[in-house]
Amino acid sequence: MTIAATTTASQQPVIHPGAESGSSAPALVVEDLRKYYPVGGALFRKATSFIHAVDGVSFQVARGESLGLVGESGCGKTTTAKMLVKLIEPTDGKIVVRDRHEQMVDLATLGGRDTKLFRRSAQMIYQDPYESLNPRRTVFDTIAEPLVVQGIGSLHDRESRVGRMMSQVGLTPIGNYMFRFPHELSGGQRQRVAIARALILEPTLVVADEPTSMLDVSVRSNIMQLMLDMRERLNATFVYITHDVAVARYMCDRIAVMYLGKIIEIGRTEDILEHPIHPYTRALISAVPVPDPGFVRPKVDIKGGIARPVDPPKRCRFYDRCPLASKVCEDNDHPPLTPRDGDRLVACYNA
Amino acid sequence: MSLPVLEVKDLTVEYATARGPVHAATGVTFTLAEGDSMGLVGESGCGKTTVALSLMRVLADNATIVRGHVWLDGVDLTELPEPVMAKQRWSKISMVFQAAMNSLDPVHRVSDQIVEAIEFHEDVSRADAFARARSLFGAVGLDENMLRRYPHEYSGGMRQRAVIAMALACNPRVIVADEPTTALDVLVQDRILDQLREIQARLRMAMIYISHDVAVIAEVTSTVGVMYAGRIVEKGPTRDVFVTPIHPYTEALLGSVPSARGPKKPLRTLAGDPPDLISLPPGCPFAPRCPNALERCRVEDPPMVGSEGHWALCWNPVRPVEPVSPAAPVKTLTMTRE
Ligand SMILES: Nc1ncnc2c1ncn2[C@@H]1O[C@H](COP(=O)(O)OP(=O)(O)OP(=O)(O)O)[C@@H](O)[C@H]1O
Ligand SMILES: Nc1ncnc2c1ncn2[C@@H]1O[C@H](COP(=O)(O)OP(=O)(O)OP(=O)(O)O)[C@@H](O)[C@H]1O
Ligand code: SF4
Ligand SMILES: [Mg+2]
Ligand SMILES: [Mg+2]
Repeated sequence: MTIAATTTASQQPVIHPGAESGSSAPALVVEDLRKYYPVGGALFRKATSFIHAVDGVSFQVARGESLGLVGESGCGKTTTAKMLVKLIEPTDGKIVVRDRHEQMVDLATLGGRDTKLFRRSAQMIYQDPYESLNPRRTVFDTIAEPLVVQGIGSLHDRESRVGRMMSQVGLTPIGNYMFRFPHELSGGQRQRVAIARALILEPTLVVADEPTSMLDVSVRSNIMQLMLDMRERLNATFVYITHDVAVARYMCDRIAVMYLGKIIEIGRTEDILEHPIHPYTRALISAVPVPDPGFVRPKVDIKGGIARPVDPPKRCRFYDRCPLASKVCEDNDHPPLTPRDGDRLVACYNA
Repeated sequence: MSLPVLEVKDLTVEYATARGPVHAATGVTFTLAEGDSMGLVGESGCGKTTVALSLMRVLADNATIVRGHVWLDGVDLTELPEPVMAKQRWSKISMVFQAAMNSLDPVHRVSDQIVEAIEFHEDVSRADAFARARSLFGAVGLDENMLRRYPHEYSGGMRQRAVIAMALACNPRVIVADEPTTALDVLVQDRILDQLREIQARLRMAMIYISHDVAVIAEVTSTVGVMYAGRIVEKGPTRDVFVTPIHPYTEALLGSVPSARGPKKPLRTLAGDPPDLISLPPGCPFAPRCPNALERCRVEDPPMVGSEGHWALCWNPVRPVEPVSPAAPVKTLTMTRE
């Protein structure tokens, strides 16, 4: 039995409208998700401070939809991603996913067996391919591992699947790379091994953490096309972390912008790129470089250093750096996400 | 013109594999003066990191520098015994590794690693070394409290910034930055690039900046080398190379950049397979994918065309250019073919 048969047969509803009906059937629901890490604690001394790496994040992603996560370095994107695939446990909050039987299940309730089944259809592509690949495994063993763990296919099947995947990510001639170890690959080649490994099970939920950050434009376009095709074919759901706005434009239907553990703006990609509302989003979009040696970037008017959310005050997380900050922002709690034009939500008192 | 700090001539590196040698860098030649910044761009796997690691002399065990020289302030690094080279590393030539995580030791606090590097090369007190580490963290936008934390407590972009701080710790003459901002959002990236440029200008440091991001290269470098299949196939002032490319590969590379602004164009890719660095075809390595390829391209090594300042290796360039009077790089390239 091939995987295509197992996953698609059980995941594909009999009559399912195309990806257009984005708002229908949620595949992933995240509610008030939190992750706090203790800081300054030691073996016999209890930590008294906490880093609020993710601090009350909520969103939904429809089946077949792709949500982009963008935001400042250290704002909690990777931490969120790892919770979505059950690699780390949330401090608080809930993650609900649609399973193979069309049931919405709470990730926290999954036992060992169910977790394994969940892993068959949910894959993460890690941010750092230098950290995430096992140095003692060849390219072949690395890419084939998910098939082995899930007990899918004969050795022969696996070989052909791995070979096909390798050519799709441009690791050709495949014979040159099949039996290399990670340290014998370039950075971008490692990144492609990590992508091949994540996609080989044809997952229906892909959490991709800066998956193409080390790839040149041409190879990157190929990989983006591969993911877009796969998304369409399997009606797969993507959570796609990227700092590259041009990439987000092609890969994501909607974007959530994070700042110090919170989503501060969320909406349709084109809307956000054309007309960002939150002052942080505005600064971020205006700073996107343009590949033209004559181009002069506008100076960004957000001040101050890059903060770290250690026991953050209750007020707006962006207060210290915000060009629009006022008394309201100082006196009140962090602003709630409120609806704006279209399907947009923005967390700001003054924008 | 200032004095040359770094001169690289005919650098040729191979990796031994079961399938045969991988020709990862071939005939790489360039010169950097004080305060210069040169970009290196090219497809994934074309040899950029290999060039960088050769300059630092930290290549993998299966690598050999087959030919070529690297002179740093007149001293040939390829000939230094390792203990002498160790003294040069970080203090005279340093590198921001593409493998940010691998260059931080997971069991030590980041502060210890930076402070130790400073103490190894300079006669300074621990307190002074620590103070310098603190100011470097400030420069790369890291909270100084992070200094005492372990690498696993850093986010991807924080690690990358810590590694940049480490590369700057001993005020090197040359800094090689290999994809230093892949994990950074544009605002933090801006800030880091501003700081790098400021430090570079103040210390008259020479910089090699490797990136797949053409926009960043346009912003931070004054010259750029475009690599394909282990060789520099076009080189010149960044502006000229990007506005009036000579080599068909450069043109293809620039043409596939998706834009964040303006109308959304379909994704463009480069047709054909990446070059097989174990068995390269004769003639121009780009010929199998080149829209301009002629019969001749598949047989003979392409000549150097353009001018001394902005040249390319090509038989049929995308714009009319003159041949460059026979110069070294063409000769050395011809020699590489068995
Ligand atoms: N294991 C950990 N222990 C302590 N702090 C942590 C740990 N993992 C992450 N953090 C902290 O949590 C915050 C969020 O980190 P995270 O990796 O999620 O950021 P990110 O948005 O992915 O950033 P980047 O874009 O730089 O990768 C950071 O301040 C980081 O230092
Ligand atoms: N230790 C090794 N053994 C065998 N081949 C290697 C080794 N290291 C690198 N290579 C190969 O040499 C070529 C050049 O690698 P290099 O790391 O220099 O590429 P790069 O231009 O930096 O690519 P990227 O942009 O993907 O990081 C690649 O095709 C790679 O597979
Ligand atoms: S030498 Fe020929 S094949 Fe190579 S780039 Fe020029 S035209 Fe194309
Ligand atoms: Mg991250
Ligand atoms: Mg590299």
